[in-house]
Amino acid sequence: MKFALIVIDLAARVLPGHRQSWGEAMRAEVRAIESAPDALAFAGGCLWAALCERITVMKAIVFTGRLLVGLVTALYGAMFLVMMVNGLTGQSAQPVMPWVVVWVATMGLSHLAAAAGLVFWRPKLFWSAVALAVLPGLVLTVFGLATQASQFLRFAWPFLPLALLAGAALFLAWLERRPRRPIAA
Amino acid sequence: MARRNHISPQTRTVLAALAVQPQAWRYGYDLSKETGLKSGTLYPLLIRLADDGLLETEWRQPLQPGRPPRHAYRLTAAGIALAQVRAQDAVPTANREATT
Repeated sequence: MKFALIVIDLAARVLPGHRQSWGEAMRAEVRAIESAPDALAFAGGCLWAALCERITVMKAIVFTGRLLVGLVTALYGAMFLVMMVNGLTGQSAQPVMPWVVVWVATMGLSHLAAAAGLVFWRPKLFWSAVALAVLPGLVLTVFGLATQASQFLRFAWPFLPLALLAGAALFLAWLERRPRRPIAA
Repeated sequence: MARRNHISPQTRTVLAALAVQPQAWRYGYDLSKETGLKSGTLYPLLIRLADDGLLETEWRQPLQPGRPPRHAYRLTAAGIALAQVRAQDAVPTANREATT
């Protein structure tokens, strides 16, 4: 009986916060069962139910999606940092402009931060990092084109992967919030 | 056009068990024994039924003194109506199966 109580306490702890009253319900039910093997089997089932309540299929899909997109974003950010290091150590054949180094560093760091914000889903961190990645490119493109130098167009291409990243984050957030279909639909 | 049926056989079983005495409060362990469903299947169903307003829940003091209260369940009016509709749906199906 003691083992059944340990298992049901674990089940109550595994349940999400908004289901705590159901954890109490399960606990009270196990305490009311007189047969120890029955109580243990019942508690084991409750633990399974609690795990299923915690890890739904949709949550698993959203988590996997965020992990994959976050990994690609982190690799993309790391690529910028590698570019920056190569440029700074003189492996690049062309002279490096200081503002290009700042832009590349900002892109690399902001993408790494966006990847962390996406995987652990901290919306404020994610959107701040995306904004930080967008702003320098936007400023360079707008003011650069204002000087009629078409070379500044190359600072516009990262907007496409950033738009894809933002779209993926919005889609995954929508999937997470999507209401469950009612039983009597 | 056929109505979409989202009710699993387990949900149907629980609804039928609760609909036998719709006014009576039932406990999880008793429902599990009566329906033959394990608690791992039963509780997610009870949670979903309660979420959808088909099941009402209440903490009730057992008849035996000195026992802690237990969480009890019974169908709401909407739950009773759904159980009746599903029971009617099941009758023609059962008749079809009996004749084949």
